[in-house]
Amino acid sequence: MELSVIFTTLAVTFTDEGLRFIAAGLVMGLGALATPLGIGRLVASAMEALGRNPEALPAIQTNMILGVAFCEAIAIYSLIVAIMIGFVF
Amino acid sequence: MSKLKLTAAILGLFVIIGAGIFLLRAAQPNIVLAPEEIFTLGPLTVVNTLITAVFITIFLSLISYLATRNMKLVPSGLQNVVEAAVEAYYNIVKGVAGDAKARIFIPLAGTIFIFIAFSNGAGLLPIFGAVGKFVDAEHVLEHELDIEEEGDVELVKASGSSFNFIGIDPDTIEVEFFPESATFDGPDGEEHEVTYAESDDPHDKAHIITEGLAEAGYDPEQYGHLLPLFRSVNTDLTVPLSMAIVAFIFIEYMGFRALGIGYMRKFINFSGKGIVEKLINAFVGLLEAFGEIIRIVSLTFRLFGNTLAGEVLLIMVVFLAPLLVVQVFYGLELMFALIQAFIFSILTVVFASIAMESHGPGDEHGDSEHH
Repeated sequence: MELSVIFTTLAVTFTDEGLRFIAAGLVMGLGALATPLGIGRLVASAMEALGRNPEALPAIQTNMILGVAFCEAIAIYSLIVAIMIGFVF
Repeated sequence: MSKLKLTAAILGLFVIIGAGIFLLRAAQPNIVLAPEEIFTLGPLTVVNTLITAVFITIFLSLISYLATRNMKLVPSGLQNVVEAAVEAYYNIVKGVAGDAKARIFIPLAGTIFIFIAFSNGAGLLPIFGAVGKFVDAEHVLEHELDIEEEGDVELVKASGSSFNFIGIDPDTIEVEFFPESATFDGPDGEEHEVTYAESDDPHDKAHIITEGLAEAGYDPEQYGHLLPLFRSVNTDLTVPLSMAIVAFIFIEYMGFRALGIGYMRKFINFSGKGIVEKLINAFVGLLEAFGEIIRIVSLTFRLFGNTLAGEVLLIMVVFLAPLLVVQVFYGLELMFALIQAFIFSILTVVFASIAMESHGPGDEHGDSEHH
């Protein structure tokens, strides 16, 4: 298919509703891009520390969960924005 | 032999899940952000989350009363269970904040923990979202038309099941409304249309559409929406927000109690040599104050978002795979209920114990000046 034809087809199918869902998808996708990396790094470091010093389990675990909560908050914000774009507006 | 049995069991599981996906159709997920109004009590609007919160509070009070009614030195029964839980939580807080501070923090942090854990856990009970007040078609349409000019609304039959076998017509009417007309499919499958003037108020429009429904062969009294009587408490933004504000006031109070008026030096800080350093310190103090206030937002939305996401996830999973799969997510949600409660209360503890320490940026600077 010719490129211009694809664009014309796309232009026809870009409705307000469609754009809304694209926006919601982008918000969630971009918000969820870095969060798992942060959580992964955090947990990996915690596991490493745990391997070196198994007695420190309670302190490491508590702090790890707190850190994960901070990381996760970003993804949750984008989730709320995405839900609001999708269902409320 | 046992391997054969295991294979058969796994195969059976997949067959059941597949049958659910291909043969059953769950109701279209209806996600509502705002809690639904059940009735009004004078100037007070009673929403379903408020009713749930009252029930949970009564339940927790009853448990505490029963557990402490007849206290013994050597605990047994309910007292034993409650004591073990409180002690386990106390040990966690002690590990974070130290023994002396833990004794101050535990009343508030523990209350937050227990309330969140129980309300999020209770949100998984089957009566949530299933028992409620039925609103008939006319009122649903009036409400929807009041909000927007154009859109669609799905009306569900009061006595109908929300699950439908594929091939059997579901007990729902999909009404699409526009500024000047509304369309829906009749019981026989053909499309009906009713028209009204754009200037009509929502009440009249809803009445005209309802009459159209009756003409098409539906009983408008039998179709409508279910307003759930119970709803997971933390899906109402006001509940996490009010808890976060209480936690914020508690944190600031702890700071002032430990450091006196010197606590303000964290935020209003003009110390330093030279004008540049003074400006930088003032700016850092401003940032610190801003970070303090932003905690309300982050605590609120973390809890609200997680709870709402959990509910939406369950609804979506039931919609996609009606049988068996949702049980896995129920287990996950049970775990998340505890983790969210833990995070909210421990963050309060951590912030409060940071506020009580005098190592603000101003103090650090003061120390380095002496060296």
